[in-house]
Formats: sequence, structure tokens, C-alpha cells
Amino acid sequence: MPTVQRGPSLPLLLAVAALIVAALALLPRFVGLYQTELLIYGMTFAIAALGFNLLLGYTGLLSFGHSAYFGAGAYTVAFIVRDLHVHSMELCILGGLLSALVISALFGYVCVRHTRIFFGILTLALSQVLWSLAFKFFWVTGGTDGIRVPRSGITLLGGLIDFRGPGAYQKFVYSYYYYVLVLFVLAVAVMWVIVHSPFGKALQAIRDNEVRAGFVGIRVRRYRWVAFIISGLFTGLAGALWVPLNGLTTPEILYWPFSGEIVFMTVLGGFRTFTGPIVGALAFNYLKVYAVASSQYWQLVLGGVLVFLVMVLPSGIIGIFSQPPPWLSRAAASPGAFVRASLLFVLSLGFFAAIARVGVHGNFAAIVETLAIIAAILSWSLLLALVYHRGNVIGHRWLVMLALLLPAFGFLICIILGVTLRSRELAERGT
Amino acid sequence: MEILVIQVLNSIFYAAVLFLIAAGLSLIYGVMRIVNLAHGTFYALGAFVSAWAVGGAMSIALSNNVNLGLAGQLLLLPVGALAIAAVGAAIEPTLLRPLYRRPEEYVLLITFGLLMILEDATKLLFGGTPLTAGSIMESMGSIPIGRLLYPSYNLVVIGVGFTAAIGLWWFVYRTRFGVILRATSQDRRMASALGINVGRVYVQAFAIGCFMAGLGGAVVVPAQAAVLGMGVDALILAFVVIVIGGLGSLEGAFVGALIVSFVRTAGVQFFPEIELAVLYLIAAAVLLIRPTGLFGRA
Repeated sequence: MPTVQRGPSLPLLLAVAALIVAALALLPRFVGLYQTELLIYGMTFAIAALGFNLLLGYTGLLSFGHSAYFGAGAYTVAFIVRDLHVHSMELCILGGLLSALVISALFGYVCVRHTRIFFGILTLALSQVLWSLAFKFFWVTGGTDGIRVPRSGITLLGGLIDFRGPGAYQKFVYSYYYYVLVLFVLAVAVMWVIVHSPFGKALQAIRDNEVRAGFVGIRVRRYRWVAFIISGLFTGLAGALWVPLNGLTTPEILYWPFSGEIVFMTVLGGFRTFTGPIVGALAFNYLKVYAVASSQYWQLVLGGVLVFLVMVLPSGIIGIFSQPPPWLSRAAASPGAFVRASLLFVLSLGFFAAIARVGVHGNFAAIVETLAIIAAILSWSLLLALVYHRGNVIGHRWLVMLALLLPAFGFLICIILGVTLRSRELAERGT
Repeated sequence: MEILVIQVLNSIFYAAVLFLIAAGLSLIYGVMRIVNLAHGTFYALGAFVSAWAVGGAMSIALSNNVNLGLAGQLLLLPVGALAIAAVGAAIEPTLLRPLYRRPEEYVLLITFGLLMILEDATKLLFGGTPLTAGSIMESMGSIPIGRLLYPSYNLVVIGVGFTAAIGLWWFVYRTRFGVILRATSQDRRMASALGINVGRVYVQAFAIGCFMAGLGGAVVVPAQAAVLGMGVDALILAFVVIVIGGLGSLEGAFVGALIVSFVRTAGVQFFPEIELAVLYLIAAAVLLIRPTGLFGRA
């Protein structure tokens, strides 16, 4: 069990947060339209994962049915736009939140009677009720075709900004980016306050020891229920924000594998930390987009990453820093072992990625490229983690230098190789 | 009247397949306390392997001018089940065993990862087109029920389902291995202290569970083509079955499968829109009123 740690002081935290927000606000100036759109997706999923983690990370309940609240938000917005002809996004969000509130209050009331695996199955079963309704009542929900939510049917800030006429797509992406960014920052701030409030502390007490929390006088079931509702509200907000971006809502987002994806995001980032779900959602979004774009077997890649994550990095990306997995602590104590471990790590992942890519393209350049990217990302993150836990490796500064330089060199070489091979391939295709 | 008989037979046919899947899921949960999200995909993979084996053997036999015959084809069907059992026996020691000391969320997640991997592995190995072993169904013909015809292969599946139920019951309650299995399920550490090789029991239990899922796929594939995504759908229904019957209970899986398939058949007939929703609601209601299910122990 982790000992009591005093986190960074509030002013420092605010300063770092302000820096990150400023960077996010400036980002669309530098990355193109497509990257901006990807970031909006990432931020909406981050809000969903943040909400989900209030249950998993802070209350200790693994929900396998969060697709229900995401879908509730999304479908409500679609209904409002299609049937009520309301265009104001603010009203749509309010509607989405309301329906997420009702459904999570109802489902939560039922689900918090159980914990552990029964809780998970119950949330799963209830979310599938919604899925099957959306799936079967096609004259209301459009069935598998879903409901289209055209961009032109949405206005922001009470009609101040609309998206009609030429250049609407570009205008939409850029203004919607800031719209979602503001809500994202708000959601993160609210969640931070919740988690650090007496209520949040009570939830963590329940997570750590239910019986004791009950003896102290916490009404365990009531607290779980409220946490469930807050969690559902956040996920519902994410669903509502997601719809205009996607332009379409289908039963897919109510089906249980989507709940699995929300769990995946959170675990990828690290569910024992506050920032984990945010980082995890952004990373998962990129991972999925990249995998889908590069291979028809993207599920294989994602599944492989998940299995790898659970086996080797159970504390997630952020967790590497706050809660290093045992093998990393051991490695930090003996640098030789660290080098071996990281080599094995990079090689094995590169190997799987290579197999996946060969299977798809039979394309050598693509393999080198994938290897380079994966090797670089992994060795740098490992290295950062090692430097972070450097307590035991001071005295081996040359080794750290070497480890810093090697991946950098490897990365460079791989990029050069990849570019040459790809250009040669393109030239061959040209002739 | 004939329609009713056929609907009842259909329900029992469906229950037999569902029982095979759910019994494996329940066995794995009962012994190892693992909720295996990849179980439905094992079922789908079993169907694909069996269809592939039958289809491949048929074309080889044809090119050599040998008639495989009905018996030969039927004997080839369990290939899928055996293959899945082997896959299971390989997965348990490599992927699951390192996680038993960790919180159960991780095991659930790894089975979700396995589900994604196996779904695509199926696509990679067998392609995206549906596979079927329909030749078996055709060559078995059909039997008359009143003025209507009913495929006799469906009766074979019903027979397999009942045989499997009795066999599994005998295996768990009447053999030495069954005693060991139940002892391990009740108290892993005590069983280990008494000299039982718990690791081996776990591999065997997981492999048997996978075998059942694969067998479900193998028997269904002459009647229904194996398609991508069938596993994900089947898993949820198998969940409903074992939730109603009680997690880890064999009798529960039997009764649950019958309940689910009769409700489904009735649902398709009388309330097609909410047919699935009703099943999930029944499962939720059972969990609420009697979380251990109809036959489960606390």
C-alpha cells in the first residue's frame, strides 16, 4: 500500500495546468485540421474516462456498462436535434445530461447493491437493455443505421456561431475545438474538486475498506450511488459532445465492447491516478486511429497492447511514475537488468507489431517505420521513468547517457531507413 | 400443432448449443473465479475450425475420388472443439496464471484483450466470408413432423447437448477428478495443502471449459454458418444463462439455457422488439433478487 504522499502544492499544480491548457489552446495553430479533429475526439473520450474512473479508481467498482451513459447522452442529443428541431448545443447538452442523470440514477440504484464481479455483470446486463432497444426500435432510433446529426443543425453559444454555407467544416472544427476544450477544462476541474473533497475522500475510504468506512459512519451504499450518478453524468456529457463531431450515432456506442474500450482507456493511462484516464483516452484515441488506418486487423493490435499492458505495465502510462511496476523497481536497482529488460520489452513489442504489419501489407518499409516509432516511444518513456526513479542509479550516469543516446540514434537510423525505403518503393511503383 | 412441436424442438436445439457454451463459462468461473470475456470467441473459433476441417477434408476427398461419407464428416466435427481445448491449455499458463495474485479486474481485462486478438485472428485465419459445414445437414435429410419437415441434424445436436450435460454431471460429481475439481473450487489453498497440483487442475478446468465452447461451435456449424461477430453475441447470451442459473453451477447452466431459449423463441414470435431487452432484464432481476442465481451457492 502506498504511504501517505503530499502532492505538489496548489499554486504549482495550477501553474502546470495553466501551461498545459495554454499549450492545448495554441495547438490548432500548428497541427492541421485533421489533428485538431482527433484532439476533440480525444478530449471527449477523456471526459468519459474521467467519469468512469471515479467509479473504478476512487470507489473501487468496475463498471462494464458505461456505454449506456455515453449512448444516453449521444442519443438524446440526436433526438433533440431531429425531433424537437432545437439547434442550440447548450440545450442539447442539458438534455443529454438530464437523460444520463435519469438513467444512471436508475441503473446505479440497482447496481450499487452489489460489488465486484456481480456489479460488473449487472452494469453490463443493464447497458445491453439499452443497446437492444436502440437496435430493435428502428423506427425511433434508426436501428443499425443510427441517427444522423448534421453539423448544420447545430449552433454554439445560443446561436452565436452556426455552421452553414461554405467553409463550414473548417469553421466547425476550429470553433468546436475551443468549445470542447472549455468544457473539458471545466470537467477536469470539477472532477479534481470532487476527488479532493471530503466526499471524494469518503469514496476512497470505501474503496480501501468498506467495512471500516461503514463503521466510521459513511453510508456506503448512498455514497456509491452518488458516485455512480456523477460518473454517469460525466460520461453522458462526453456522449453529448461526441455526437456533432461524429455526425452520427449508432448502436455501436451502446454495445458492450464500447464499455470495454472505456475501461481500456482508463487502464492504459493508469486508474490509480487522477490524470491517468485523461492521458489514456488521448493515447487510446491515437492508438486506435493509427491502428485502424494502418491495418484491417486493428483489433489484433489493440488487443495485443491491452494484454501487454496488463502483463507488464499494470499501473498504466502515468502509473509508471507514481507506482512503478515491480519489475521496473527491480530494474532501477540494477541498471544491467534494466537495459536487458527494456531491450526485451522493445524487441518483443516491435516483433508483434512487425508480424501484424507484414500480415497486412508485406511491406518492409512500413515494418521499419512501425518498429522505429514503437521503439522510440517505449524506450523514451521507460527512460523517463528510470530517470524519475533514479534514486538507485546515480553512480551509473554514463549508463543513463548511453540509454538516452541509443534510442535517439536508433530512432534516427530507423527514420532514415524508413524514408529511403519508402521513397524507393514509391519510385518503383512510379515506373 | 405441428408448428408448436417445431418451435419447441427449435428451442431445445438452441438450448443445447447455449448450454454447451454456458456450461464451459460456468465451469471456468466456478473453479477459477474467472469471468472469461473471450469465451464467446472460443465458440466462434470452434465453429470456424470445424467448418474449415470438414470443408477441407471434403475437397481433398473429392479430388482423390474418395467418398468421405456422413460418418467421416461427423467424426471431423469435433476437431474444432479439440483445437479450442488446446488453445485454452496454452493460454491459461501463459496469460492467466501470472495474474491470479492481482485484483480480478486485471484478469477480466486480459480476457477482453484476448477477445479482441482472437476476433481478428479468426478473420486473419479464415477470412471474412462465412464458413459452413452444411453438407452434413443436407446429407442427413429431414424427418416428417405432421405435414412439415424437420432437419434431423438438429435432433443430433439436441442429443449431443443432453449427452454433454449428463457426461459433465457424471464427470464433476462421480469421478475422482471431479472431486479434485470441486475441492479446488471450494478452497484453493486447502486443496494445495492436501497435495493437489492446483496449477494442473486449473489448466485442465480451463481446457475443458474451452472444449465445451468449441464443441458448441462445432455442433452449430452444420446448421448455421460461422460468421464474424457471432462470438460477441453468443457471449452475452451465455452470460444471461449463467446469471439466471447461478454463476458456477452446472444445473443452473442447464436450466438457464432452457429458460433463455424458450423465452427467446416466444419473444421472436410474440414480442420481437423487446425480445433481447427482456432477456437482459430477467438477468438483472435475478441478480437483484437472488444474486447467486437459481442454483448457485452463496
